[in-house]
Amino acid sequence: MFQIISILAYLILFIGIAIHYSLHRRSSAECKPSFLNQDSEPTSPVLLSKIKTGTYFVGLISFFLLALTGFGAAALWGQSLTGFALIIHTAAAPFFAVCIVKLVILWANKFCFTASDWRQKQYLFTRNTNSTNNQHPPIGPGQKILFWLIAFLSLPTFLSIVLCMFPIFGTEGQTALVQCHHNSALLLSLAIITHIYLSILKKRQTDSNE
Amino acid sequence: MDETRRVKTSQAHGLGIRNVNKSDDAPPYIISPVFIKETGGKITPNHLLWPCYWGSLKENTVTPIPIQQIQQIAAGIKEAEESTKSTNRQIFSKDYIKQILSKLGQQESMDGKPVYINGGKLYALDETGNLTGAHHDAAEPYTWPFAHNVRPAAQSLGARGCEDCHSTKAPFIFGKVAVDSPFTIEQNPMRPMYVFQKVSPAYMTALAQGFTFRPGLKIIILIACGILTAVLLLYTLRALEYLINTLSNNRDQSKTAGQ
Repeated sequence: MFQIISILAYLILFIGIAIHYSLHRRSSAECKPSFLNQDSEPTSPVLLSKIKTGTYFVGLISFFLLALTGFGAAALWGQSLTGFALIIHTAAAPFFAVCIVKLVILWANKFCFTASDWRQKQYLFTRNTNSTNNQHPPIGPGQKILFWLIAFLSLPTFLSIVLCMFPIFGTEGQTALVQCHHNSALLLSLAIITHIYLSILKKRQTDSNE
Repeated sequence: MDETRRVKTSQAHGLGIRNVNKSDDAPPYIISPVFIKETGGKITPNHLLWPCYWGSLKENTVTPIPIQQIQQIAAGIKEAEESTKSTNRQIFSKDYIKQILSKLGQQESMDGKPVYINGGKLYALDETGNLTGAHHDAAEPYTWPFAHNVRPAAQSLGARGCEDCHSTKAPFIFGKVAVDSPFTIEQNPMRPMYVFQKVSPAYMTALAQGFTFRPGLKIIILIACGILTAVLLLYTLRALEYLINTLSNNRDQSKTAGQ
């Protein structure tokens, strides 16, 4: 069952990304929204910036390792996680957890919702290119929602599996916790992939505008 | 606690003997507990017995030869000096086995190649007349799960932690199973438990060593969860504060407008 759900979820996500990308390319060719050109983010010190970038890339690598080993077995072969894939999965897990926590601490302020997010949302819905408001933040509300969703979904994903390692719950409880880990990890991976896609899109737009 | 040892079962006591033989060396040599992966994928504790018989090999199938036939042949063969005999265990010399196999091969009633199954190997004479031992399905041990694997909670596997099974010293995976037989030809090596579980020793060693870091992993994840909860709580409270302020400002503004 989980195999079908995960395959369907990834299919829907990738189709959605493909549709969004094709629509976005068309619309961005017609008009370039001004807020995407701006980078109102206060510049971080070099060391802090390097820490952020390093943490982000370690987090990405560990995420891909976790997703490949976790969903590779479940989605492709319909089997539970065993063998060397399990060892890689457990080895990558603490790195991912540390990176998520570091990024949440470092970026929580930056990803706070502001009044301008509402204006930007209205802009996106109305497609009013004559908008005179150029004070949009560089991070869209979508990215912010994803950031907090990732932070929120990390909790059940981490907690469910770490509680499994303690002899607190019985067999049924452990099965339920593993199920919880599967489902929250699936949602978390979907959120992270969407976040990566939006980040790449934003980076490409910023580069092309420069 | 889970190291293998010889056990006696109620049924095994009655095999071919008049009275109960309580000697440690008394056959049959039932070894237990041996943790074996069943067809369903579950690992269950089993009793184990290594087969020991004379047979004829034809089309890769071994058919046992009646013991009476062997007794008749063996009666005419003088045991070599190195063959030793104790109350319950006899150590055959290779030459003795060779002679019996040779005589069996000369018998007209023999259908197939005469072989001797013992100590996890199939022994037969090669073209040059030498005794060679090889692995064969017929020489694999007989195993059967015992009881319902019910133990008191304090004695159950995992009661003392993950290391009950996931440790390079845990008998559950790295225990040694004696390749035992009442008739010994050669000193047989022990067979590691992971062979019966059909798992790679490299993988099991890596997995067991991974459990050394498991307490650290738990602490890291728990700290991560604590920090994430704190951050989420902090920003939820901030959002709540913003909401309250906005609502109260709106109310104040409407009040002022009403006046």
